[in-house]
Amino acid sequence: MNFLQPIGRVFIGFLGSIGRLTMFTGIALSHVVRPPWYPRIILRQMIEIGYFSLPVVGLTAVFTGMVLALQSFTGFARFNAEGAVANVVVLSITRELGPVLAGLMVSGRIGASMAAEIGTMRVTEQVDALTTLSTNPFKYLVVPRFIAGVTMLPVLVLIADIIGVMGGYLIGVFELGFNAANYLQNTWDFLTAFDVISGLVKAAVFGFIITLMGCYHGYHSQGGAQGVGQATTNAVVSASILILCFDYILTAIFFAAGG
Amino acid sequence: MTETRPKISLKDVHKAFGPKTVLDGLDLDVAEGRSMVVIGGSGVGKSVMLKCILGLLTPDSGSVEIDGVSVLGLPAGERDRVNRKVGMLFQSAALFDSLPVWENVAFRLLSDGTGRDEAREIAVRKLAQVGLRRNVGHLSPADLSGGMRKRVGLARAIAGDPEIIFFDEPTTGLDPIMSGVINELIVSCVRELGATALSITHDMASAQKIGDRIAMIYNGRIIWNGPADEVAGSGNELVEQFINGRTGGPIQMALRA
Repeated sequence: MNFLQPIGRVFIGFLGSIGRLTMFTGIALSHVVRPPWYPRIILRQMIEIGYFSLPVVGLTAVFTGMVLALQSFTGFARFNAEGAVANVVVLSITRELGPVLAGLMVSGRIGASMAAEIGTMRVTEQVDALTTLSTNPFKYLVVPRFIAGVTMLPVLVLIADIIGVMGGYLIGVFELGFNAANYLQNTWDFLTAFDVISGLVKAAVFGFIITLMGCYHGYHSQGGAQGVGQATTNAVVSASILILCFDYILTAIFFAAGG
Repeated sequence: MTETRPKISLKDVHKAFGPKTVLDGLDLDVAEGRSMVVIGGSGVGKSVMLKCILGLLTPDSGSVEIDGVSVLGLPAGERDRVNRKVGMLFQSAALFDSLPVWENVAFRLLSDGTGRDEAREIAVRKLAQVGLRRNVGHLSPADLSGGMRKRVGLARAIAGDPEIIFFDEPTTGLDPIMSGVINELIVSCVRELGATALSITHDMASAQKIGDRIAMIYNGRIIWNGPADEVAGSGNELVEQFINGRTGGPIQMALRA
């Protein structure tokens, strides 16, 4: 029966991780609603997540919009439906690709840096130093990142939506020969508020996931530089997988709600 | 001799990590206004003891009291109130990399709502107290040498005028001259504040310089406790082997895990 031991060990380890993550999330959320808050740190994190992620998210969005226009034109041309390119571009970007790609890019940029920063603070006793200075590490390190992630991801995605649609517009008008006014009219006519809002809700959830994974893995890192490196990898991989999982779950919920 | 309540008191403290017992019934009292140094080899539980007092680790059993109040299981708010009496110099100084030096020193003051200008002036005064100039305040901790980091760590530890200061291996990684400077700063800062100090170290020169009393920890217990000037003639084999750095004797270093 020895072959069952490693299976059981892995399973128990998995359950333990779920328990630790649930407790971490609960403690962190309980601190979100209780003072003191640190506005300067929240603002710094908002700038870090929102402003400094703009170039990478913007570039991702513009190229995605351009590729989407070209690919959908190729497909729709086979049954003479080229006019639907603008609709496909705007719906794909706002409902799906904007939030998911922005989430994945921010996960790589911000999730990794959070895990590395908090992990380094953990292994160099800076987290312990916070406690001895009567400062709760959750309030000082985790809560500002949560708030910044949940608020700035939707802003980033909104900007990514606009840039992505403009990428499709550039290809549609200058490469595929669409009339500029018609393209914009088609984009606007088929877009509903729900398309944009559902994307922004996804973005807020992804922002929570990215910051949760970055903080959780950083906070529990141990073993020096190697441990911090491992925490960074785990933060990015787990956030990316969870983003894709929750993307499906949220899409299914919106679908069931008639969206 | 009058009996006074100890400022810090540990009674029968046990702490194990899995099968490894680190503290095994440790008892230690530190009198108010005195400087106690705990010596012992690497991995004997000095840091674990300190973390149990600071609330960074929870002992498996036993009691830890500060000013006669048990600090184990205190609610977060009350623990914070206790921590406000405490300053701590970490082994690596544990300065916050994201903040300039002066904000590190004034961290507690800023957290308590002191204005930034006032906090900066207090930080500059504390930096001067440990021999650092005003312009150091604007540097990043990454720009400092090991000795300067320790000084900044010391300035942060004394910034809130604490009643108790803990020192974790204050001279580790420093050259002998810088170690002497740090030792003198510790003595002068503790004396000026009238604080109670508890240090852990395996540097005997440092222990004798900064301690009124010395206690030795071995196998998770205090095996000797006495005035610092009596440590050399303690008559305890374990203490004598340790302070003289002899490889032969009752203390056997584990060369393999």
